[in-house]
Amino acid sequence: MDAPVLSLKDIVLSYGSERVLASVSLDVFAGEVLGIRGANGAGKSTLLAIMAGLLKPDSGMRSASPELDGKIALVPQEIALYPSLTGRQNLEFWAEANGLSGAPKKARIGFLLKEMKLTDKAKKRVETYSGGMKRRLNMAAALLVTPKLLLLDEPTAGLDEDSVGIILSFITRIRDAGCAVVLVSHAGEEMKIACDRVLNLKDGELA
Amino acid sequence: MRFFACLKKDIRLLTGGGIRTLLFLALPVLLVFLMMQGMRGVDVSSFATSFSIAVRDDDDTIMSKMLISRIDDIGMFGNVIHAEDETDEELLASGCAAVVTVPKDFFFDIYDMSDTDVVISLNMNMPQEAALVKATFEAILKLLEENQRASYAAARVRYGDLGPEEWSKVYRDYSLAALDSAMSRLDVFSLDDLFTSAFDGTKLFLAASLISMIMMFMPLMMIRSIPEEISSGLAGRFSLSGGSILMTVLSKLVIASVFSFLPTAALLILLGIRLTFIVAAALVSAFLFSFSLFLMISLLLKDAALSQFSGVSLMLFILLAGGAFYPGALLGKTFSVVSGYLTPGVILSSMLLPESAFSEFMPRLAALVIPFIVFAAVSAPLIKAAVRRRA
Repeated sequence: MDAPVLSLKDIVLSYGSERVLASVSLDVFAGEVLGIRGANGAGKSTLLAIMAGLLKPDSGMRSASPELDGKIALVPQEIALYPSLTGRQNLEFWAEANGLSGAPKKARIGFLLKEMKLTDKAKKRVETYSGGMKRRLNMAAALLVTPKLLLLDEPTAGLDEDSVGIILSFITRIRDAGCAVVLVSHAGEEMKIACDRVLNLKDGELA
Repeated sequence: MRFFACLKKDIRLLTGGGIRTLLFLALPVLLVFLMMQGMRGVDVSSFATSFSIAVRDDDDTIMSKMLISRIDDIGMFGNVIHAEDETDEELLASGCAAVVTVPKDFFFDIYDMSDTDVVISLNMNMPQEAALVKATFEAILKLLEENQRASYAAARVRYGDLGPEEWSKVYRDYSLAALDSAMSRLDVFSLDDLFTSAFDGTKLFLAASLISMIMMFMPLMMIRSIPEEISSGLAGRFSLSGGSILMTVLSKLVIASVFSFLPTAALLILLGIRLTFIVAAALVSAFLFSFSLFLMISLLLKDAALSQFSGVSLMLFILLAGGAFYPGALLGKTFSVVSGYLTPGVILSSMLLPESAFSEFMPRLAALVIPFIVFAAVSAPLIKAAVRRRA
């Protein structure tokens, strides 16, 4: 078996007196979709933030393969977009923030808008989008630079079937291209469809 | 690249929000309109009679005595104190809005048509009142000068060639007549007109008010999105791209400063106000004060709508209490005490003071700089807290 692209070992994290994660260990491999299921408040988003490197655990070790440098994409549960900018302007900002410019930037934005079926809405302000459109654009913003590790936090929450279908099929394709994907959700059905393996997070521990 | 992306995005956020942004950008125009309406409602002569000034006569000539007695007679100001041994500082500390000194040889210089002026020490605790006194005396001296020019022209026509000594006597007589005429005109023409023209013409007041609005409004406009950027995951996503919250804040600082200082520079040029070191220091301090204040509020409240509401409320309070709409004295004693130390009062003071009076200006500058340091010190750990757990 190939070496994991990301490993967590005995990760512990508390918010004040509340222990959120208690000795969590896991490996993520290239070309797989790892599902992490858990109830609301189980610590799934916190675990993703640690995997992304955005949160530092109280103890434990996070080791990431060098190939992940600058190649980790996070699709947060919140809509991390500027509502008063248009869809295209949002993507332009995130593309430039990731170092894309000129023709490659234009091409990548055009590709993602098409993939997420948002081309005809690209010039509309995000605040006018439906929930599904916002989620799809939220995901597109994370994919401007082809990631090696894609972290998805409840990407299909509250979406209609069409939008869920678009997102899940994209996840499968990006996995097939060799990307490691971690999908966090409390919805069991989409886990079954999209994930290669699923871990349960309960009381701060994985099972 | 990342920083330029932030700058571009922030410009778009400032200018591209549709009708809501347009309405928000129209707010300063609305405030100016309200201010102009407010100014119209001010009974300037009542305002002028609500405070005292002190007059010192170092010239001690018939004409200087006449000037001072006429100022006394016509009841231009609430109380005119005749200064003798007291220093300017003592008189200002006793509550005078200004100390007007007719310098030695003032009227002698006037005979010669030399450039001369009364010396006015202004009370920077009462910037609006001080501005009115300054503008009023400038208006009186202008009237005096016009009368004198007309009198001298008449004298030349009447007497033709005379020797220097004879001319000196003629000038003296004509100057006395010119002064008498000018001061009589103050009686004849409505004092209200003089005050109104002096006050309306006090471009410094208008400029200070407008610039204060700009210096508060632009930082507020830029910073209002910060809580949203932190709470919605935008900051986290930006961190993953290699950016940081600090970069986000710096970008907003740059854009807010460009959008604050450009219109300010245009206003200064338009109104012919010189950018002295004191004015520049006041403007930079006012901007940093506003930016750090609104940044701290947004980081503490962590809610875009709430911090925007709080910011607008604070901005209006500072503008009102600082005397941007009405002179502080008209709003009651409490406001008149603080107005000189709030943004509009500090900016107005900076425009009234000569460059050499920097040490006198320091306490007012400190009223903006010290809070800026405090707000920045409070904000820094709050910014850090948003990123401190980053691995």
